[in-house]
Amino acid sequence: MKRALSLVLAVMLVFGVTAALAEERPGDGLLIGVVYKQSGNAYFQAAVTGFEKAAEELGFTFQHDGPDDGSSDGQIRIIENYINQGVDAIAVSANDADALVATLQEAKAAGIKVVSWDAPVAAEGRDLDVEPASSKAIALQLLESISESIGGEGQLAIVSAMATAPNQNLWISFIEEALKGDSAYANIEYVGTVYGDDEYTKSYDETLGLINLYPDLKGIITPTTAGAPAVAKCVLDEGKSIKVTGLTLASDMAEYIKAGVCDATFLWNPIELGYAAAYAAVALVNGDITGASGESYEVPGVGTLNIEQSTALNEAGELAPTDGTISYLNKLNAFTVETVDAWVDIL
Amino acid sequence: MMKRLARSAGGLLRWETMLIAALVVMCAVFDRQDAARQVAGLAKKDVFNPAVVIKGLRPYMLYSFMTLGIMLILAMGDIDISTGASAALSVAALGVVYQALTGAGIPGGLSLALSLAVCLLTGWLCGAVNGWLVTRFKELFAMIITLATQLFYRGVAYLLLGGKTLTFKNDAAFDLLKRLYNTVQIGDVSLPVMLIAFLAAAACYAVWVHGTAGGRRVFALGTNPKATLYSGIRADRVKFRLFALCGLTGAVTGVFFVGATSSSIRADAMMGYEMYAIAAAVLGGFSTSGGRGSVPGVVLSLVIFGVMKIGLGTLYGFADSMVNLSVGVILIVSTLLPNLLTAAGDALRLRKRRAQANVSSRALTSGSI
Repeated sequence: MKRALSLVLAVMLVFGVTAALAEERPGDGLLIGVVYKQSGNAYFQAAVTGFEKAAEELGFTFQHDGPDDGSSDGQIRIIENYINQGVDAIAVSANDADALVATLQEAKAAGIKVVSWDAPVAAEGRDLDVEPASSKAIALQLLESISESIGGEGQLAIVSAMATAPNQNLWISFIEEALKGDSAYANIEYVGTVYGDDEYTKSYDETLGLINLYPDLKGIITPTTAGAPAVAKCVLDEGKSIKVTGLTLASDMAEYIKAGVCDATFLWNPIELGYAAAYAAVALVNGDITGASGESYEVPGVGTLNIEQSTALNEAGELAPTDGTISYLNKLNAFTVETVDAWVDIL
Repeated sequence: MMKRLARSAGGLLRWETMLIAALVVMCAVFDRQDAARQVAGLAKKDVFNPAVVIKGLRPYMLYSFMTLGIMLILAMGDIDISTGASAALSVAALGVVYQALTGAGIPGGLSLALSLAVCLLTGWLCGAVNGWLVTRFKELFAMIITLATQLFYRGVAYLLLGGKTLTFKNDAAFDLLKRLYNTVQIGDVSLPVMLIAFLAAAACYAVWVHGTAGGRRVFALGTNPKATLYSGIRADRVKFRLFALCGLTGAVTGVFFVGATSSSIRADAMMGYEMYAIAAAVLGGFSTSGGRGSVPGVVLSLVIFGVMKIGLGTLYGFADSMVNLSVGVILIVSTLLPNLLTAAGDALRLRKRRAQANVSSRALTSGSI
């Protein structure tokens, strides 16, 4: 009896030790402070889910908070609170790229690593920025999707936001470049871009104009969340077999995705974004990366993320390099008939 | 003058003693929680000690200057809820004027001095407009007038900035403002520049409000406006000046705010700051019905709010929004407590008097037999 008991104990001990050995994870003992733009926002709650998932895998603990009024001084209060607690890293989605710089520089001086995600902090206030997708990746994803929907041939138009909207213009220029340069799109005839000014009625009317002008129109790309529902509604009302894709919220488009107007629409996944930001923060704290251009880090299920020089639109509307570095997930989330319902409450 | 100071201090001693007691109890509770967390391995380091708290008070000192302005409005029995907006407008003026001046080739230092003057003047003017409206249209509540000007000032700030954020990056002159958010190292303690400036300002206010005839007029105005008027005090003039001064303290808060937010200027800055300031003034002993209050009490209440937010945030993991809730609770308790105490005191006295009356009437009846 005694021997059996000691055997059981020994076995348990061995298992216990191996379990403990196996559980030594890169984030053990680390504390990360997560700051987002505003509390009570479903988008950021989803991002926190990503941090939770990473915390389970990496072993770190984290706190999260955002000001209830979405102010930058509220974010400063939260960051100073984290500095006092001696966190190892701060992951922040900034309400104002510049307002947090001095406070975050204090954090860096105290040895805290700073990752900005979703909305970047100015270069001098961060070690690394983690963003969902580069302009080029967004453009190519939309083009690829619409090409698939229309079988790679036919007329294609774009309904954009304002004619001066810098992000949209950048995406459109990448779409136009690919249409010209990539032989996969040789049979697609691009008829041009109209501007709905992010207003529902104007977007609807411009789409109607397009449909009347090009009776054979096959596909529309609408790279703006504000315009997309109007475009899809117009196509549905006119009863045309035109396919629509774009950057959209799930809640806006569920109706049109189910009606077959859209095969798929896209937006980044805030859960994956938080997840990747957590991996970046742990890698920075452990010294696996320093946040310099040319380095890379692994995020399970997302891939190897390369760190590159970040770019920003200059006054001429062109991409110009900045002092900071950035890594893109370059992975957009597709809303399809199967997936859209799961996202309706979040995006 | 010293005697007067001592006398007025004596009358308010009770409330301030209570504030100090509350602060001490709070610190003791937080300190125990801090130690418990360290023992349990929940905390990475000692997060609640004088050095951390003094430095950590910084973000909660931003509205302190505004509180000095607003408390005197309360002392007169009025209210001003436009100060956050007028501060935002002052700061917008600061940014726009600085941009225009440096754009015109004027050296940075001079531009900064001029635009700071414009900023303070704008704050004073905003307050003066409030003061003029309040004294001119006595039939309207100050609350409604300053609600209107609050919306108006905020709107003008949006117009001035065109809805954008104005920043001056790597601008040597403008970066001087960032120093306002710095700390001065004294031994182990990093003393915030803002705290020193506020304590100096509060000391001046204390001498003025509690030690001079001018200061007592303010309280007199709040206690009995008619009697004050008949005693030869130009009530409207005092009121106008105090409203203008309140606007000015808002602009000062604005300048420090720009320093704190890395010289980033936005029209939605300092939203709701006037409410924090009113809360601090009320906890400090200023009554919204006027005539009562003390400057040391306000300083104490600002510290209490700061320490409480730091403690709840770092030791109990309260979210920023939850901390505001607890401020609300404290405010309710602190305003109700004196009333409840007075009511209880009155009831006790009444009972005593009744008991005495009973005894004496019984004595009378027994005597007649």
